[in-house]
Amino acid sequence: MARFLVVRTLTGLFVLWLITIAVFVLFFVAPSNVARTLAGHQATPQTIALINHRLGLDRPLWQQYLDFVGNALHGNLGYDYYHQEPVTTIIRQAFPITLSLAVGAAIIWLLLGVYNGVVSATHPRSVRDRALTVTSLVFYSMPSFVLGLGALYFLYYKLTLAGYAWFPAGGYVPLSAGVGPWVQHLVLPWLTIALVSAATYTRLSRASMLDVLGEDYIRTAEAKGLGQRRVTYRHALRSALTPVVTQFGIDLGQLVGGVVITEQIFSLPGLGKTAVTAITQQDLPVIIGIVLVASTAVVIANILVDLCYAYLDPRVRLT
Amino acid sequence: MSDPLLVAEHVTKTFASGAHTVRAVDDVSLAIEPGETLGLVGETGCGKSTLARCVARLYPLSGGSVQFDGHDISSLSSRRMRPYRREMQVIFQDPYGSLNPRRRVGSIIGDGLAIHRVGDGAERRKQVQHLMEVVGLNPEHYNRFPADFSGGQRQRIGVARALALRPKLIICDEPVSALDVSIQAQVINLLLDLQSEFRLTYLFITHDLSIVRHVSSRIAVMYLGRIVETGTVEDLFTTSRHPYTRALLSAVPPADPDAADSRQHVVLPGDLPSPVNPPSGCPFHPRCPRRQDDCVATMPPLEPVLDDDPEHLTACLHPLRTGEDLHPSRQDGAA
Amino acid sequence: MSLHPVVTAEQELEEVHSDVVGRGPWALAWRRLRADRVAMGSLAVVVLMVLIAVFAPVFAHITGHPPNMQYHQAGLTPDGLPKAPNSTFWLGTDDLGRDILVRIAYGARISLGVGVVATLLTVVVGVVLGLLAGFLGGFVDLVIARLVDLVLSIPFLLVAIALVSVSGPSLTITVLVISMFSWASMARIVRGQVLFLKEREFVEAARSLGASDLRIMFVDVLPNVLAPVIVYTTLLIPVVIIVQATLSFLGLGLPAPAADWGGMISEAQNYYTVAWWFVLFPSLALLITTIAFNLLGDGVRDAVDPRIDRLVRPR
Repeated sequence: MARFLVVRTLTGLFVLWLITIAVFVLFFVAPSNVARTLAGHQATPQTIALINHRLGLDRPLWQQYLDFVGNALHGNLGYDYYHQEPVTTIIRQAFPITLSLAVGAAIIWLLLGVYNGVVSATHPRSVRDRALTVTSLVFYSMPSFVLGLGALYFLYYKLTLAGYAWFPAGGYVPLSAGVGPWVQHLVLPWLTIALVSAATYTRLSRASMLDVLGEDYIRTAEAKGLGQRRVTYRHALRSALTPVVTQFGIDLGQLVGGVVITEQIFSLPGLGKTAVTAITQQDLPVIIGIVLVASTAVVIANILVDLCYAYLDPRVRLT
Repeated sequence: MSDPLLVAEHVTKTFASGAHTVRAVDDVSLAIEPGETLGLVGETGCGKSTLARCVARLYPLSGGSVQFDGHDISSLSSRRMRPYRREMQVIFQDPYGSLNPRRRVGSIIGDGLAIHRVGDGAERRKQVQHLMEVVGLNPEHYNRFPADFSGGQRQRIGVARALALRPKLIICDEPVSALDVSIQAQVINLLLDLQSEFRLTYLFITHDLSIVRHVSSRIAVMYLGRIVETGTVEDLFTTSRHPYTRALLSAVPPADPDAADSRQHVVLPGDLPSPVNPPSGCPFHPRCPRRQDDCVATMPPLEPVLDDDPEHLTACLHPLRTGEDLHPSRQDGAA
Repeated sequence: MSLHPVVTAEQELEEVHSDVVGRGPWALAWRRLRADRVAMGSLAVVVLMVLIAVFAPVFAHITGHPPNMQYHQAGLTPDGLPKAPNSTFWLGTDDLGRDILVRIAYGARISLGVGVVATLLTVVVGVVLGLLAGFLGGFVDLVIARLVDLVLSIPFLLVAIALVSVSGPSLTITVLVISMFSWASMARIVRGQVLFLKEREFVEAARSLGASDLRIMFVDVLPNVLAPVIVYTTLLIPVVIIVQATLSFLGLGLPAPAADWGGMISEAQNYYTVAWWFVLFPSLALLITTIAFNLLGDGVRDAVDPRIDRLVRPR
């Protein structure tokens, strides 16, 4: 098991390193306007060149890359010229928002999705099953921004007009200001991300559960006289969860996408929104910093998922 | 006597799985004369299928050499092997797995022709339909899929496929083991008919001893990856020398039911040991009722023993003499 | 021992029933699909969407409103806000007084176009690489498998956004970016299938006939891999459509004034309180298309790989 962990961590680090190179190379293909913007519209080419030199932007690429990596390992992700702040600060401010959003949504969708899927599978063809199947299909096919706008319209606008100002239109309240407000501002964003993914997981766990329930060893358990509930939750669930865990690992990368959209719609100043703004401003250090942090998070999360997978399926540990 | 068609010398095949190494085939040497049928028998797991695949160069050899028609094919690349593949074909055991379910039967049978670019489309089609007739299938079913055929018919398709390139040698790897007994006879008879019509040489692998008796001219007996005895059908069924051969052949129901009483039914203790951890010396010694001290220490060579003619080889340090019985725990109560 | 083909009992049966036509696995799958009413319904919807896309100019012609023409007088209220659906503008207007119905029709071209092209590209790359990796093994497999892992662990949207913004939004870039990330899942699925098929006896048989690796891969293995590939492809299209809509929602689709569902919804964001039709109709178009493709995909999966345990289980 330890060996597995070490191998996975090393692979993760390798992947991370490749990502930094890819991102770095990618962005240096683009024209960077940092110096020009700092210098102002009236600046002469000489001034721009001077600023470039001062900022170290005219050195060979590989040198800049090495410096960047060196700094990153020391916790310094560069300096944001547009906002006159170290990138690390920007990220540190945005990170808890994204984290609250991502983790909360992930928990909701996993629980909701798997629960519904299992319920569906254990009562196939029932009214509940059919209703769930149809709703999951609709949510599964919906882009999250449509869901977000829909949530805004019905749960914020209409509801507030009707006198029930339960949900705000956006903005973030840190946990330190109280759990209530924190949750209140996050409910709609959570739902926006979670409902779409929950639908996917409902379908997935339903199919997986149905497969497992049809297996002979389940019938043996039932024949042994175990109550249906015990059969379901002890024997079947464990095997049925494996594809769900695998899917979750893959989806972690996509979670970032959902976060970006939701932060846009609900004006949450998390990593996603910051990244999008930075990209439109061509603010290189911020972009690179955020991509790096996001990738690290995804890699770590993937390792954790693999650990769960190894726990569920002992065969994996031997490879 | 002409030169043998196939010569295997000291062929060894090992598989490594994790920390274990398995010697599936251990120092096997045999020769097959053109036109004859060499039956290869043994229990499941003794290495006969592996040997077949080594000889057919579907596996790379771990040791030893294989010569086909005078040419050494032991370590040829797949490209250099191609011309020899036309001469050496395989009929597989599983009628369900050995045919591609997504290809039409005509395409499967004509695959060899297409690969070696024999004739054009129309000629190949005619050839395939002719082959289908020869093996007893309706040539109009050219465009059907394997799923439309029964097990016995699928094996016929396999036979047709092997025959398409007019090979000299066909390796039959348990060709009827997966079929119903009533169908087995038909396919066996087909193979015998084809042998005389197309002048084929067969390496016939099976665990079914009554079949091997009917089909072979010579027999080789394998145990735990090694050949323990080889000789003509006569020799082995009347004067077997190796205790394992004797025990194995004693299980064959005789053609004459009345002779059953006088038959000595030998029951061997124990099971086939795991090839991962083979016994020292003679591989059969743990189960052998005639075991002596030197059996544990020395690997017996495969050579003529006692007063046998040079074709009858046995790997035993204490072979059975003519007329001698094997005395293990006797199952039947007859004296 | 005669030399004439032995007519077996089975064959006699064969001759009598020779008018029973043998149906290949694909013909059977098609028949199952045809019998699935839900799948056929969604196929009809998909075809409808395609027709709308193809005949978008017809919509413009009938209504008399080109997609990018802004009607400041007739198309906006006196306050300058979009007009609700009426007899002139059947689905209403957007914030610039443009006809939403016509723009939706033209938007279908983009969504479906990108959906189909990007998916095709993904499938080709994914299947070929998956085949090579699974079948050839060794170094090739190592490289491709690592590449797949890498691609799957990159946070897609961020990098996609970055790429598109760096290079400037264009259809080609969008298609390329989407394909660049989707091929990995396809390759992984194909590779798994190939690893399993590689051990089957018919592959050994092909080798014994002297077939080259290339031939075995494409003549023997590929037809057996196609079933899951087709299912996955049909289910991939709606995902691609959504991704493309998301990218344009974030402002990285085609530059204005191009008509594109995601972009329209993005423009509608600020008006959702006063112009519900502006948000609703493009969203509906998107939703209907993706639901249809998803239902079709489910139907295709059931047709190609029917499982007994999907039937009713008595409880």
